[in-house]
Amino acid sequence: MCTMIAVSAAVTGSGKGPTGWFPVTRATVGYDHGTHSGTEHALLLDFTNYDLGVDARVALELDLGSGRALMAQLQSAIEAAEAIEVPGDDAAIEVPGDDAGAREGSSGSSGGAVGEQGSR
Amino acid sequence: MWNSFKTDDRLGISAEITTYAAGNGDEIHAYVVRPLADAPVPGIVLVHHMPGWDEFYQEFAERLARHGYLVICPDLYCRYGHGTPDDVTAKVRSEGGVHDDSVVADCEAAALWLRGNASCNGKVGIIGTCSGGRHALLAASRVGEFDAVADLWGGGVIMAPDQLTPARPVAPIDYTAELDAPLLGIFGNDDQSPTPDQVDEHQAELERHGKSCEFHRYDGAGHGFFYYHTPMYRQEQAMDAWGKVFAFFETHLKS
Repeated sequence: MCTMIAVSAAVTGSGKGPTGWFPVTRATVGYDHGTHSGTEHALLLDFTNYDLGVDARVALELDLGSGRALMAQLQSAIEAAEAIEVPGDDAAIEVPGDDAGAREGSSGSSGGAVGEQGSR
Repeated sequence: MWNSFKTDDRLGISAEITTYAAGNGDEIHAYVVRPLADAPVPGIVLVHHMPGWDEFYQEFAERLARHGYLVICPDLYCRYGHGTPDDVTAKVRSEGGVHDDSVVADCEAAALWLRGNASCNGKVGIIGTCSGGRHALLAASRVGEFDAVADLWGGGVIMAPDQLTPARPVAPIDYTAELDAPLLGIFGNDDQSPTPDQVDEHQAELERHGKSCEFHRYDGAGHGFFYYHTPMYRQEQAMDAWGKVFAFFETHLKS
């Protein structure tokens, strides 16, 4: 089945693709047919910058258990980071090659808040 | 039918990626496969699935052409840019999916392209799998250009109100009264979308409207059981269902 589950968020950071590092502007999380995983569906994580082309993409296909484990460890790492960082420093990531530089609440080429689009 | 050719038949196909004037007059890519033939042959619009305009669909088109059909398989994601199929699909997914209206317009234009082709006999069918099955049904229901339609495990034919989206605003079952083409349905009984109950509900709605439909349900198969490049492939069910597809198009497009 095509679930059509996909949600996106604007992000600020860098990803490493086949041609090297590039600034990523959007993260999309889906649960639908994968390309490489051997299951009918997979969690599909895409970190992209479509201003640079459709292949400016770092992709992951995970099973749901791995997604939960990743989410838990992301949460754990963020909480640990927040304990040692000054509030507001989360937006101060320098992104080489990104003209926007450090951005807070970055908006990607057409990104937005989590859950802004296409949920089913 | 599979392996029904004669070893001295004049067989062959030619295939290429070309462009055609699709919906809104946009020039988009299409994979076109032509059988060697002395006389005009039926045409088929092949509607690719959600994972994109990919290699499976190229081989799908070639198989149909080997059985005597002029096939056009439009790149429904062409307007999103170009890269590997999975990269393009990821972009389409991130933007909420391709709009139903866009797909219907591209399929209608593809049918007209076939009818305007000297090697087409004037009869045109449409077929797709997964989202392509749903889109094939949708196009055949909304556009009176098709002589036969085959929906292979298209999910989302029946949609609850909370499943409707800007890209998919109307459930295809709501167009049942407008469907004029005979419909072939191929489904796996282990599929979750469409579920066997949804298949039954769709068939009942077709019969209520007096529509010509032929549904085949397979035990031991789920979604995508033709996909020989995935663990979803089910050899016995797939080969039987391929026979059903060829027989259906033979009846409605070649007779």
